[in-house]
Amino acid sequence: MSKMPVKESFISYIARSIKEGLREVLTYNMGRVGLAILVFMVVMSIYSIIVLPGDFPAMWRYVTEPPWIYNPRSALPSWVEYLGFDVSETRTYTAIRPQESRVIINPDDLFRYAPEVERALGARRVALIGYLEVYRVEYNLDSRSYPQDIIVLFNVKASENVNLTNIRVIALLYVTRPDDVILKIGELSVSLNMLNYMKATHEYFSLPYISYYNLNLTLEEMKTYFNIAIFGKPITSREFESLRGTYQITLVLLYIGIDPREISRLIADRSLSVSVDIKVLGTSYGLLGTDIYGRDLFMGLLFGFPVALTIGFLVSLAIVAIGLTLGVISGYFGGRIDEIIQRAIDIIANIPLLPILILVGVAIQTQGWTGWPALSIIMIILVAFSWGGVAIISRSMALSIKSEPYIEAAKALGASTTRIIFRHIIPQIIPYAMAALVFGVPSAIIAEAGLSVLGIDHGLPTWGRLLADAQANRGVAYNMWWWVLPPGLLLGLFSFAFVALGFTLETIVEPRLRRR
Amino acid sequence: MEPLLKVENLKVWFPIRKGFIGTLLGRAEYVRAVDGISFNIHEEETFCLVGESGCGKTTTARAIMMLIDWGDIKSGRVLVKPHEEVLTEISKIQPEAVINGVYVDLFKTRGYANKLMRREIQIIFQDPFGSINPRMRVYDVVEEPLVIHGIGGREERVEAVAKALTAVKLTPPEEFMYRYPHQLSGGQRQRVAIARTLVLNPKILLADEPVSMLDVSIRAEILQVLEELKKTRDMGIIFITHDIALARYICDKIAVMYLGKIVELADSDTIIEKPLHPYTRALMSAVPDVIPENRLVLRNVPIKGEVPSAVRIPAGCRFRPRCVAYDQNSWVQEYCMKEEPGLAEVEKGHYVACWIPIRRRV
Ligand SMILES: Nc1ncnc2c1ncn2[C@@H]1O[C@H](COP(=O)(O)OP(=O)(O)OP(=O)(O)O)[C@@H](O)[C@H]1O
Ligand code: SF4
Ligand SMILES: [Mg+2]
Repeated sequence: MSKMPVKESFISYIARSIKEGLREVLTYNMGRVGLAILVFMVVMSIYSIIVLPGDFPAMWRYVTEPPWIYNPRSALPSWVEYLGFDVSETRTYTAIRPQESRVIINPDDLFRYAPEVERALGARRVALIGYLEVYRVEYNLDSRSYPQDIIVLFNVKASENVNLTNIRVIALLYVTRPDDVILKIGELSVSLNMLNYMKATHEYFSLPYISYYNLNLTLEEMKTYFNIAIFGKPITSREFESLRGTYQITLVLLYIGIDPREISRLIADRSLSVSVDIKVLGTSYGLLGTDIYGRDLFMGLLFGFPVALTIGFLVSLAIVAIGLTLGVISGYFGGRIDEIIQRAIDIIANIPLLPILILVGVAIQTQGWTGWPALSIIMIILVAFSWGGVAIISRSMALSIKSEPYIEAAKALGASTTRIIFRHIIPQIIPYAMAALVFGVPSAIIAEAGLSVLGIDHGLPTWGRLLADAQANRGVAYNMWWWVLPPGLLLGLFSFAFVALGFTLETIVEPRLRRR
Repeated sequence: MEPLLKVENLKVWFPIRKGFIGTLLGRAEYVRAVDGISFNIHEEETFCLVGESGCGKTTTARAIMMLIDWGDIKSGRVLVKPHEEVLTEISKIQPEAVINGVYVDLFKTRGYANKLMRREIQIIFQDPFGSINPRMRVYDVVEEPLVIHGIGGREERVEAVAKALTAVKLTPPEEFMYRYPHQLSGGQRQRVAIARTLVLNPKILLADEPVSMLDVSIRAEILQVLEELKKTRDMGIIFITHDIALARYICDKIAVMYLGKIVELADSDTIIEKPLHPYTRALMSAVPDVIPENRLVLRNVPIKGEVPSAVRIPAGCRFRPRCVAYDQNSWVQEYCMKEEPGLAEVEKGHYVACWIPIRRRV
């Protein structure tokens, strides 16, 4: 025999239907668009799973912890610059190399290699010896908007035999402005094991600055507007204007406590390494900016992709699976079981879902549940109250298929009830179920988003959650379009993809709707 | 030689839903679709059930196929002589269903015994478009009975399917196996339906108007296939049709049904040439004449009125309201009014349920 017919299993039947359906979907423009968006969503989800850390939800929740506190707050997306927005850039100088690194035993050497120490506004001359490192980076400001802060992040690594507690570090931070005024903006003196990060402060330059420029400002005001003082020049005794030009940021590290030659040796043979990142926090950041806590909105949105797909597909799949099963049972067997299922549908159709969800949301919060468990409960409730529609249609389809002659033929062959249902009834309903599945996905997502906005917090950064956060910070969020629009647009795009796919599937399933 | 199949006093009554009031009054009413019929079928015999629409032909077939709810079978039994190995198996698992050591009482079989007996009797339906699942390929359709009954490994099944397709002249089988029903003509589909019954090698094949939905030009092929099968496989065939002319062409015996009962039963030639029941005569006269010129001659159809409902079956002879012979023979009227005539053998092998031949004989 030339070809061996391979018996087709239920699974391969389904797989083949999906494949054929997909091919047909692609013949429609709507279908192509929908599918393209869906593929984009899937790619983003995979990317998200790869790049985001596993504990991202927790990280997102702690707004007063790194990494968010190292970001500018309420920063616009960086590309808005090209749209004509006047924003200052956020720059990160990662793992920079020191310009100077040497052992100094002569106190004057410090001033020779790091003249800022002596020349900064209001500097006092201190004599120190030890192992010196001087880092310098340049930042160009060409904007009316003041950068928010300058921070330095340290990452200390040492082999086990190095006792970090014995080594102290004195870290001094300076900024040399385009007008050649040097400000000391930070000082830290800690043992090496405590060296973590430092940020700009007004403390060291406020008083000399006020007298130098002859300003009418209080220390309190200087504290609040230290960034304006750093990046601006006074035009009156109280008013500032941003000072454009190149800023040089200088970090002076002086290792003391043990013999500086020893430190030099440790660093040379890599038993000790101190990696330095300097960040100038501007008013624009990354692809999608930050929220008022400095959280990277791109990361938040990225996390939303797999969650949206998961919520959408799980909920929709469960709705279709339950609706299909109960509908077919109801239609095929009839009688008592049919009666029970029909009444159940009546009941769930008449109980308003929203109040229940809100109650459940409150319960979840009082129980202190967060994350996936909390979300699962919301998903279960959504499913429990939404399978009725699919069940009603599956039932009527099962009723009509049941009276087809080929069902009677199968019975005459001795087919079991299970076989009749799985081999002869369900495959006929599958195309419809596919369309229902696809249509159901956006409903689930929109429901989740709605609940988030209503304040039911499951603690995961979903798109709905982002919108809810923006809404909770109403006063600012109304100006912060980059906080509100992207999640809103993504929700819309997501829904559009599935509605487009759903319509295409419906056209395929119901040939009367075909326009060609 | 014992018959392959014995139907004894089979009654199928469907209860009528009467609504709330009727339920309260508690009077049970029934559609008496099949109202006490008996017949036998032998090997290599084609047995025809003939009658007009609604007389209970399909219901009879469905009862034999055990497709009717047990509760609707009012009385009677159907005995089938199965293959030896099936009989042995059933005597082991359900000895009470075995009658006289050769027959199995279908309505007594349950569970596995019931499933086994389904191998022995198979059915072809009227509608070749509806009786095959449109989403299954020919191979899957024809293989399904083997899957259901767990017969054979993959290779045996492929072989059995190919053999069955060849038997119904769908050759070469490889060409048809991968097709979907919509890629087949009506006649080809009906042949697939026949092939599907053949893989189980049944002893009895029911064919419920298997050609009435097919184009006249392809009817003969299907009938020929059935005829060949009967001979090569020692099957008994029950052929259901409302076309008595067709019945004569393919059947060995004909049973004429009227309102749930067999009113005449004999060899097909006997019935066609010498019909004794007024209803059979009426059916005969409705057949177009073999001689083309005569077809235009308006013939007197010896019947009156409409078929009464199977719910209110007339008292006495159930054909009486439509019987022309009743009007013409006043001597028989008292019998016809009072009592229903039973199926009596008025000549050798010729059974009639009408008082005229019965009484005349006496
Ligand atoms: N499941 C059922 N429930 C109630 N009544 C039924 C059922 N099946 C058949 N009947 C009735 O029983 C009677 C006989 O029907 P059946 O289908 O056996 O007739 P038939 O001889 O096959 O007719 P046709 O030539 O039109 O196919 C009809 O009056 C029909 O309405
Ligand atoms: S028994 Fe009487 S009514 Fe019935 S068919 Fe014969 S003649 Fe007609
Ligand atoms: Mg019929």
